[in-house]
Amino acid sequence: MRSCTQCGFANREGYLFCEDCGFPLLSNSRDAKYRTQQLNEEDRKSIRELQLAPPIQQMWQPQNGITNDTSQINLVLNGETFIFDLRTMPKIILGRSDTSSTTLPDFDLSPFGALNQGVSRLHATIECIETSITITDMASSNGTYINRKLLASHQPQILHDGDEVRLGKLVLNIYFIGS
Amino acid sequence: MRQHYNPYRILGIDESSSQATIERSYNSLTKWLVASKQAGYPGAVSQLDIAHKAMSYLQENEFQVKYNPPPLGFSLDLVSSRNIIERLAEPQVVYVLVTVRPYHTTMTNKTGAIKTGMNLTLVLDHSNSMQGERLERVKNAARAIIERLSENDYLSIVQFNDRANVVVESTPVADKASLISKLALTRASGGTEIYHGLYQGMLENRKQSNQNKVNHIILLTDGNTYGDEELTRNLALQLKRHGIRMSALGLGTEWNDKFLDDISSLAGGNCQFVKNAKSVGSFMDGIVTHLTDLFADRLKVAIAANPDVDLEVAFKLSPSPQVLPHDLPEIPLGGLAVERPASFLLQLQLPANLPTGTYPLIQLLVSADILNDDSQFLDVVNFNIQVQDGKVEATDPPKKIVDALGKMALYNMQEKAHDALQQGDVKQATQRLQRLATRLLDLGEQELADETLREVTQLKKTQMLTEEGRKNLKYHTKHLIESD
Repeated sequence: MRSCTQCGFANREGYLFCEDCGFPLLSNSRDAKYRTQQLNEEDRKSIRELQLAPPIQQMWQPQNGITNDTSQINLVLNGETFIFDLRTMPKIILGRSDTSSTTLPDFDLSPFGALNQGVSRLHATIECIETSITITDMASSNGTYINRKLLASHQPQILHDGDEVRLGKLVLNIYFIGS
Repeated sequence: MRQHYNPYRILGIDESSSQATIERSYNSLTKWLVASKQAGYPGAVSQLDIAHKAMSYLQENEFQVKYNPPPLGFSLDLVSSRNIIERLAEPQVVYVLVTVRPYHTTMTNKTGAIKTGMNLTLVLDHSNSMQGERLERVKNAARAIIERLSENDYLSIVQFNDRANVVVESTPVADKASLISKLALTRASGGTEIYHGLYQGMLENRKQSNQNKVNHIILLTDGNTYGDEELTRNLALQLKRHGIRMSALGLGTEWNDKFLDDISSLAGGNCQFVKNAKSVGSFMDGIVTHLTDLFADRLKVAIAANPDVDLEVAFKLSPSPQVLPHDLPEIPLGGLAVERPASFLLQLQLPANLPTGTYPLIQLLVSADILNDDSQFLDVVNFNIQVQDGKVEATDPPKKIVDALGKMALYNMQEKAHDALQQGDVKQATQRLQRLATRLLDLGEQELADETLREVTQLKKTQMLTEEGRKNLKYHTKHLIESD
């Protein structure tokens, strides 16, 4: 038997793609040069138990993820700020480039140690759905967290100004910029 | 009709074998085939038949036969996901991918269809829903086909609603103007009953059908047939017996894709989704082009497997990917064009606690009618797997198997989403489609991924998929499988 890492289905020996959910069983991807590193339980626990860093939350006036007055978002990572304009880029894929990737992420996190931090090649997407800015975990290996809360995969979650997002162990802070 | 085959290959031996070796091999082969047949593999019957023929041929010639391959034929190539497996206390799965590679030693008559001519029948829906643009487009498409064919070709045209009438009786395409003028009279009315149309189509096609020719029906419909599904299914099998293949075109979104897929695969053809009436012409033209390129038709495979093995899935990868009706004695695979190999994949379940050593898993007999040559070409291929105690060193399965399975998984995911929805499980269906979208994105199929996500949104809002979206996903994911 071989359990699917994606959905847990017990596949018969010899299956190459999960009989239930269709995901590859061989590894993350057979051709991937670097497999997404699996975070151990301790890492996962430490993510959940960490205290929120309060100062940033307070510096910014929290607002709902309403796009009426938000046209850009800032992703702050390791002290660097990256600006994405949602008018020109309605959907941002966050992930890690790999030689085997056919789809590259819009925001490649490889330079930030994505591999060691357990970021998947296609980890999460940020996009506007109706009037909200949302983040959706794309069935990543190590999960996506908003303010230390693990998201169910494929369920869009509304982002709020100042939210802390974790992709595996990699931390991003998100700020909205009004137009 | 002559049959071309290498008697030594049929019996699983080489030309230098002694009479004693040949007899031993013949005995063990026929014994194995009989066991396979008794276990419910009907494909073993035609294999036994050809084994007997090969043996008597060798006997008659006192085991002194020199085999000369005919100028046109094919070779078979088989790869498996694993060649060595560990003996386990649980069932396991092995995949086998077979490629049929055409060869020709002379360049003459490589496109047999052109010389012999084609025997084509159009069976066209003219029920009420065809009224207007659709019917006009279909008439134009038929006109273009008449223009394209030559006097070597035979054409017949049947139209149907709840009954059928023959618009053009089977005739050589000589007086094109008069054929075209007959099209002009068609008017749309009534409901859709495929059976009558297809039956008339068969009668017309049979007037000229023979084993030397491409005998083909193109069925075009835009609606659901009611109450005659089982009859039509039997008719499809009857077409197959008469050596007539059938391709189906489903126009718009109201037709029953499961049914058309089913009957066309039984009749050795495939079914395509024509979303927009505008493209009817190019779809029909595509079918005729494909038929024109054939040098062999009625390619089929007879499968015999070890009695303890379950053949779970047979899937054609190329040309025109589709689920194959794997319980037929001879599974139709379509036609064979000179430069295009055909391939199919089998999923086999092996029982628990296999005996260690060499385990004969499967033997396949592939045959095709060589057009314009009044002959049939046959070849066999078999596969034995090695079973051992203890761990087997992991090796990567052949890339073409992984690629094919990866793409088939996409097709299966949308099928499962649809199944879940039919059972009223919207949540399950949504989740499956979301996973499909992620996989599509991962494989670089951005457009189809977006379309899938649009259907997810739709599903969340209305608890349903759009017919167009669903058919699009189905036929596009299926199409992805063919990427040789």
